[in-house]
Amino acid sequence: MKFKNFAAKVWQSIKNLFKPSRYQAAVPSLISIGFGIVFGILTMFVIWLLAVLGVFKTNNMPEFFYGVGVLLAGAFNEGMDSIADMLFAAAPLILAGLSVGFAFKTGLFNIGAPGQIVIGGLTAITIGLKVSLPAPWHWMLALLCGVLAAGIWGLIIGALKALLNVHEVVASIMMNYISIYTAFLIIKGNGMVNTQTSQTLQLPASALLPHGEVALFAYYDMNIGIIIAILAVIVMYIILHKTTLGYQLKAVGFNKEASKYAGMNTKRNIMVSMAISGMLAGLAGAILIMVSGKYFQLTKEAMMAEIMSVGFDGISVALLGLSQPIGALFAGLFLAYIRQGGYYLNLANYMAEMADVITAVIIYFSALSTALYAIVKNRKIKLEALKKLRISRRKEKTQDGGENV
Amino acid sequence: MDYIIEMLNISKIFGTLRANDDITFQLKKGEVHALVGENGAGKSTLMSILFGLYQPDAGEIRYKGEVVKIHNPNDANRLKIGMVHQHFKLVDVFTVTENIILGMEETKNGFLTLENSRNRILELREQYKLFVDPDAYIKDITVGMQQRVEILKMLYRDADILIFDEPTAVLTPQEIDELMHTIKNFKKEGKSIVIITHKLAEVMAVADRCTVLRKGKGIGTVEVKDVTVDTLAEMMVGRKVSFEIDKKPANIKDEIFRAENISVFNNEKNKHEVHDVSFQVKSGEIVGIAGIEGNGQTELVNVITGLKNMTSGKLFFHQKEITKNSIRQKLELGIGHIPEDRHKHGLVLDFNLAENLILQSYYLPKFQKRGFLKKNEIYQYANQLISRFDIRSGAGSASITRSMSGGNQQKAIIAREISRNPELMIAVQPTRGLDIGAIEYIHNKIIEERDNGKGVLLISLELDEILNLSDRILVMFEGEIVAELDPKKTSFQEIGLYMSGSKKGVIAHEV
Ligand SMILES: Nc1ncnc2c1ncn2[C@@H]1O[C@H](COP(=O)(O)OP(=O)(O)OP(=O)(O)O)[C@@H](O)[C@H]1O
Ligand SMILES: [Mg+2]
Repeated sequence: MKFKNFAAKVWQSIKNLFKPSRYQAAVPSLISIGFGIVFGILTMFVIWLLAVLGVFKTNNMPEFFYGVGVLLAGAFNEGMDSIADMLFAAAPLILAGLSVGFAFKTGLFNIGAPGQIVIGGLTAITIGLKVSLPAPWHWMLALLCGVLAAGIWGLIIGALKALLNVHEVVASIMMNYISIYTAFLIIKGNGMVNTQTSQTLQLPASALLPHGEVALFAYYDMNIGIIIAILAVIVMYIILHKTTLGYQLKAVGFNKEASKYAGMNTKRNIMVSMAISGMLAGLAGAILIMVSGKYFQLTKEAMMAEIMSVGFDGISVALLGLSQPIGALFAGLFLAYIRQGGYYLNLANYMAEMADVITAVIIYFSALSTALYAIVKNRKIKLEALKKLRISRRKEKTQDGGENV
Repeated sequence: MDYIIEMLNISKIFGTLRANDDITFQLKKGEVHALVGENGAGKSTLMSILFGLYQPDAGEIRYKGEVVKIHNPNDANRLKIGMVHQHFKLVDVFTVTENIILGMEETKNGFLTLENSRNRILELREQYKLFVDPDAYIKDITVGMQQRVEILKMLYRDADILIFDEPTAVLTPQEIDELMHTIKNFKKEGKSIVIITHKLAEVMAVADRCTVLRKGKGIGTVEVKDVTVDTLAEMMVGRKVSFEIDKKPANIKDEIFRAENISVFNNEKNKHEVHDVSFQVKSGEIVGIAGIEGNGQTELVNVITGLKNMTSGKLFFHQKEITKNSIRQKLELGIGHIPEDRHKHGLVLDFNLAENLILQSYYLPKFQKRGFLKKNEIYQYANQLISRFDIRSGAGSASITRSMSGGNQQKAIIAREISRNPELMIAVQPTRGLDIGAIEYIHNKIIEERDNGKGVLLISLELDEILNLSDRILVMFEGEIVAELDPKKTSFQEIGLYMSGSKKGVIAHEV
């Protein structure tokens, strides 16, 4: 009996998931993705044209049609191998997007995700190198500590805002810098650095995220990161939409005064929200670094380019995903997909950065397209409503007529 | 006919709701035309269409006989149409002058030149006796002054057709008189005026004609001199409305709440906003606090509910001290609060109606189990309140509250507070923006609370409301309680004298 109920519930939620109304919100993002890709293709065309016309000289003539094909094929260029690569790259992006999006939903701009990623990674490295434990426990502990440490890092920003009224963006930026130098300090001060290469030591196998032997997971580099990311998406979806915690956090985000009036502890809510956001970023950082052959390079520039950039990508993912957990999942996958396409572009003698051009355009458009979409949608609804109105009028009239007869 | 504006067969649909259904509204040049109707009847929507904020789905607008399309407020400005909205649209951190010129700034070499504009505003101010300080910040001035800013904004744009959406809902009686005067002046100058209001006395006082809407449909337009308040009321609601309040003698019992020597000192202004205020509320009585806006009532309420800290004083609830209790603790003890500002405190506008109706109780076992919201119970509860309190909206419990009409937003708050069944109900301007039918209903509800042995603290700028409902009246002036009066033995005039500080009474402290 109970099982039947449960099954019915699950079936209902699956059906809900596929209701078209759920996807209307995604339309602006899809429009901007379209624009971004068209823009990218146009740029590639112009580059090709200029090369053909001899405006700039090159030995490696770009091949336009091949290039477009490669770009669009994205993660399907080399079959399972590149799909695995995409999923591998997507995991930290999804988590960073979740982090930023969740904060957005609760009225906070967590531009501190990059710093929290560094702290998450740093903690994972430290546990990995300084603690010896057998396999599942070791990487689990490293992951958990990374999450907690970054949560505290986020909490500090939240506390500064809640208790001392320091704007979270200002505090975040400062904490980002502090995080880099804290990482250097701890890594160098505790002998976790390879002095020759000036990067962190290789983590022992027990502290690396495992990868299975089945299907995609057997491929090079691939690990359980994507599974963790998907689980995080589900958990965050539930928190935001189904729990009292999410209800409170959203209420405070939308209207702090009314939440206070209603007896909510607005200060605590801000801190909790930043801590959760920090934990998600920390998870991204730990997943990013708990991979064979991944290190912290101990220069500010390298940290910015390789580690913190994931946090900034998180802002794009959150924007494109409309700050929704499910949105972050798809946006993160998309970003990884198009980057895979970019990666293969050099086969066609284009630069891989083409993918970043496209992403940038998409982000610009997604900021605009919400407005564009609203206009389009209004038109459509109006037309439908008008039709309904006419029909009901006609009915009224015929009814009136009937009475008269 | 000399119509300056004609709105012919206008329809406007939101989702499945016909907010305006084939309404015809004609405005003569130089008249004051009242637009009345129940909450959610579609008044604001109709006027927003005229002002270019919404596009009609059917029907046409004519300006001096010619068909025009008004795509946005700029088009409306061009036709000399101006509007003061139900909820003001001013920028808090800008000055009065900056707000007035917003959108038509004069610049020189790319820099703002405020001098000319400022002078122009000063001229207008003198001409129409609309006194505001052009250099004050919006956040520092009273609601009444903010409204004058909105009016100046229209005049600055040379508007000839002036739309007022419930202008008097937020004003003090004195300010209302002034506004009526101003409107008559506008009329003398040949301007055409539309005024939306729920107060039929105002219709009788200033309007030449009156159009009545009900549930999105036009019921008719009448010459005001040919009708009485009662007929108008009947046209609006569709039934007879009683303006008399049926009140049994109070059955006053034990004290529920007591405030002792409450003071609030404002460091910025270097003065007491509330000074040494003491009073009590007993079971079964309604205590009314009268006063001109800005005499400390808001601060007093905020201190009692916990939204603001007091400088000194003590609060007691059933003889237990609650001075230091948190807002939630006070709510749980049984204090209800219908707040003065429904958008700032009363509602999370981006939540839907159901979510707003559990704003203080979402964490109770009724609505939550192990941290998970019980969606079914929440929506069931919402549907109950919606039918009990006749809250009207486009999509029922799932309506985003931002899209609801002002009066229905207010009803939602009142429904929530009354249903929480508090022992002490603090009601600040509870009927602000409500239609006469709803006011009747809410007044009866408040009296019912009293008769059920609850205590009610009623704060209102409307003397009628205070006099009709209260069992005891306190008058506040400059942060102090200057009189305690028996509503049966006092008069409008006497309260007025106390309110303006011309008379000070002796207060019997019966603590
Ligand atoms: N933007 C919107 N989206 C959806 N529904 C809306 C929107 N604006 C108004 N409505 C609905 O249209 C109806 C009419 O609203 P309107 O604001 O015109 O009422 P009103 O006559 O001004 O009422 P009140 O006296 O309470 O201010 C209401 O039921 C309201 O919920
Ligand atoms: Mg209205």
